[in-house]
Amino acid sequence: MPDLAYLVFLVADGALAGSIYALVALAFVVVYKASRMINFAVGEWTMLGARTAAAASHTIGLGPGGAVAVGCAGVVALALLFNRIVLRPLSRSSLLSLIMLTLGVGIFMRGAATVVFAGVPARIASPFPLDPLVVAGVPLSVDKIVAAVIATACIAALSWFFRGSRTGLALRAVASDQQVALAVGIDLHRHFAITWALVGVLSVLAGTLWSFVSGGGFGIELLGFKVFPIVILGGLDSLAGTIVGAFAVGILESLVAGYVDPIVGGGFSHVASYLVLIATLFVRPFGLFGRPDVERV
Amino acid sequence: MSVPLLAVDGLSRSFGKLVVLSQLDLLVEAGGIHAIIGPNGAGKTTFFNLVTGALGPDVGHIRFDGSEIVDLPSYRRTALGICRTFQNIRLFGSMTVLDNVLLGLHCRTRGGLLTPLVGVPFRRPRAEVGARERAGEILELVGLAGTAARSAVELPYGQQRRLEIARALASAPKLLLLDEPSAGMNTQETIELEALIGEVNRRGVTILLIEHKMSLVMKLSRVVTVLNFGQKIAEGPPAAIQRDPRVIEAYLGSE
Repeated sequence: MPDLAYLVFLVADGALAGSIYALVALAFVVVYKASRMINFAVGEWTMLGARTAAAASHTIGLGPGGAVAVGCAGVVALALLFNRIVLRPLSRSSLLSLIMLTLGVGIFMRGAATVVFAGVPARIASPFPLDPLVVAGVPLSVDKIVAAVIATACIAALSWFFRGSRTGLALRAVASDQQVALAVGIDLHRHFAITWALVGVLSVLAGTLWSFVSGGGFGIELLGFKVFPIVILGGLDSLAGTIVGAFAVGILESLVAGYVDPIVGGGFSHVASYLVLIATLFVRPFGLFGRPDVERV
Repeated sequence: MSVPLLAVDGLSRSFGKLVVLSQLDLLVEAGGIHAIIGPNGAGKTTFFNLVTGALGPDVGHIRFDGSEIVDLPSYRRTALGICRTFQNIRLFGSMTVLDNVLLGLHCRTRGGLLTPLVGVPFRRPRAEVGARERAGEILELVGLAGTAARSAVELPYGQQRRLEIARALASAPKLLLLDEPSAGMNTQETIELEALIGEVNRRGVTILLIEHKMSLVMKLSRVVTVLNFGQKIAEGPPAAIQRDPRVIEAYLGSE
């Protein structure tokens, strides 16, 4: 492949991965914005999303669409339950203990998933052709393109939801100042529940799409760790920044994998985004798009 | 006295060993302007927090419009018709002026989870169109017509105060609680605020006001309640309160 085509391939491939990262990062940011809670279990939720959809596919025998729908219903129900039974009674305890709680929940979910989903394949078989699509000499895998299209559509829908719907406006108000949101008559608990329902849907979509492109549920929880360079880059409180950050991290990983990994013997692409994370914290601790008063992870 | 809109009975609240409000009884007449004054730390803002539900009392009853509200969450009280402004201006700063008012209207507009507000390719539901018209009217009432699209933080101080009142009015309150609305305002702005509060009251909103500027209290209110160290030390028409020796002592100290 000529040099330029190789570069385009790497950027395109990275952007396609970035679109899925964006979904996971958004699941993280909606919770952070609503309640300032840092959800370390976001990768586990994504894993749960993928495996629930896969279970729906393999045990009930649904097609990909139906499996994702059933998966969404199941994980949304779990997320709402988690919010109601675990988070709501703790709503007056310190943020730090809630953050620790998410670490514990993550470990519990990993362990429980291996028991509950024992013997069930971890992924839905990708319904897309394996042969890459060649555009102007640049090979692009079909499943990645489809995943990116779906992810982009979700991002657009979510952006509209936050900007253009009355619930989105109320959610932004909750994010801006909980006490004033209460004072104007917004039911906080209802809107926390909506946030967690969003986490459920995003988890299933991101998890399923990721299992298409990565070829299995292996290490899907690790997707959660990608969230941190993304939100640090984009700013914890900015949805637009999160999306930009996700694409930036995806492209960065791809470029490093293409150009640096062959030289150092591989694996450096996984580290690169964390180096950027550290550099960002030095230069702009509140992220490229965040406002300065934001807490750091 | 006519029917009380708000009837507070034996309301107490302490923080640790500090008693902030002790056995407070207070009646707010429907349709009037009622002022609460008192030195700093008298428990005035805590009282507002208890009435709006931001805090719960240790003991006591709060009846609003004939029904007990002391166990209701904040948002239910807003729905019943209680809304407030804050001592330090608290707007949704990153949002537009219009969005701030629309949020005030949130509890009055019915809509599903996905009810669109603005700028969507398909038709906007009637309730939201109504909400935007109503928001426009309220902005005009408080003198902020033409600022709808601006970001709330860009407004000058006096206008931010007005926007806070507009946001509260949007929730169609029967009782509006204003926490030091004239704080930080110059004379001109205070006079304009006075006119605004009078106008809002004439439109049928009962007003409960915490205020330090005596000129404002004297001109506007029918009844003044004086708090000191969490207790009511005097209550009556403004002219009588001004002469009350207990009030003078609380403010100036005894000799």
